[in-house]
Amino acid sequence: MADSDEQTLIERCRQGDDTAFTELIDRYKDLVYGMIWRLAPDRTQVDDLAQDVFLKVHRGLPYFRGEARLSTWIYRIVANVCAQARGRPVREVPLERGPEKPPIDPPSIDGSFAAIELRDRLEKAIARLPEQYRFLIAAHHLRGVQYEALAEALDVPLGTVKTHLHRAKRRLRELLSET
Amino acid sequence: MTCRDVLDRIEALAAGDEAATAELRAHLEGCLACAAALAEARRIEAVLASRPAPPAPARFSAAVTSRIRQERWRSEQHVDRLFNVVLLAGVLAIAVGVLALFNVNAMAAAFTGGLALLNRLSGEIVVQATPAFSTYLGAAGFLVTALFVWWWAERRLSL
Repeated sequence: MADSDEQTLIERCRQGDDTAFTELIDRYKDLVYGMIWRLAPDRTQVDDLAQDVFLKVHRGLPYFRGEARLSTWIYRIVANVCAQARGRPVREVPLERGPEKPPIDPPSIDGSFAAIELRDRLEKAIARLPEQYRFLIAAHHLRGVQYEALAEALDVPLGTVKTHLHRAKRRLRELLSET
Repeated sequence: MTCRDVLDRIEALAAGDEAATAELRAHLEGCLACAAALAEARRIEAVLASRPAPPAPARFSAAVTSRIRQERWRSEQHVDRLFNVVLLAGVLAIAVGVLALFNVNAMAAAFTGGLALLNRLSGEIVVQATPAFSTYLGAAGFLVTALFVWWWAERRLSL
């Protein structure tokens, strides 16, 4: 989205234009939902947490100074909401429904079972990473999120983001070799 | 080039953030452990790139706007409640005033007595507090600063 478009949208939201805020939700909902899906400690909380993010955006917009991009500010809110959620008790789910599982792509390569098994082990290894690494891994490869956007979101230099991501992946490789 | 040098760069190579130099390629061709590590890092990279991230449900935007409306309604209710309390206090004050009008002499005596008592007490308080006035002022300054820092930090955290 062009910067001027974003500014106009923010301004309309600040003036209480509900249609503008719905437009803002529509623009960012998939990004927020996808990131929370990857970060949330409990998949049954994804809906609530994603909604919480937009409620915080709604409350915070009057104070948003526009020094960073809107998406950057939203990433920070996502990281905070997920970090707070880690402190909450995990919600019990009725047996007939069960916790939602991520959709598994149909087998497309040989050794698809090995790929599914690796994915499963990788998810468990990701859960053991420190908070900041987990956020980077969740946001990485997500709907075109670039290193630059992550650097801005975490307020660290670009080189640091790359180094941290490489370290996170190395840690994942070590954790996988342990299992 | 040692295995350690190569292993430090494996993730960058697998992610395509760094190009393999001729020296590095030569090492990988001759070192099974490093080649296996690179292959594993590439598998991890591929799985991370294909991690599921489902789109938001169809009714997501409507659910958020509904929660915003509920929140707005709740805050309006608070304002309404406050307004009602103020209104009730006003009505009570008027009622007390009307009752007082029926007993003007007693009210005047009570008022004069209260005023005299207040006058005496405030005089004593001022006399006692005057030497420590600068201390109170300093303490109030600290308190206001601390409250401001707290408010600012809370606001940042809540965003």
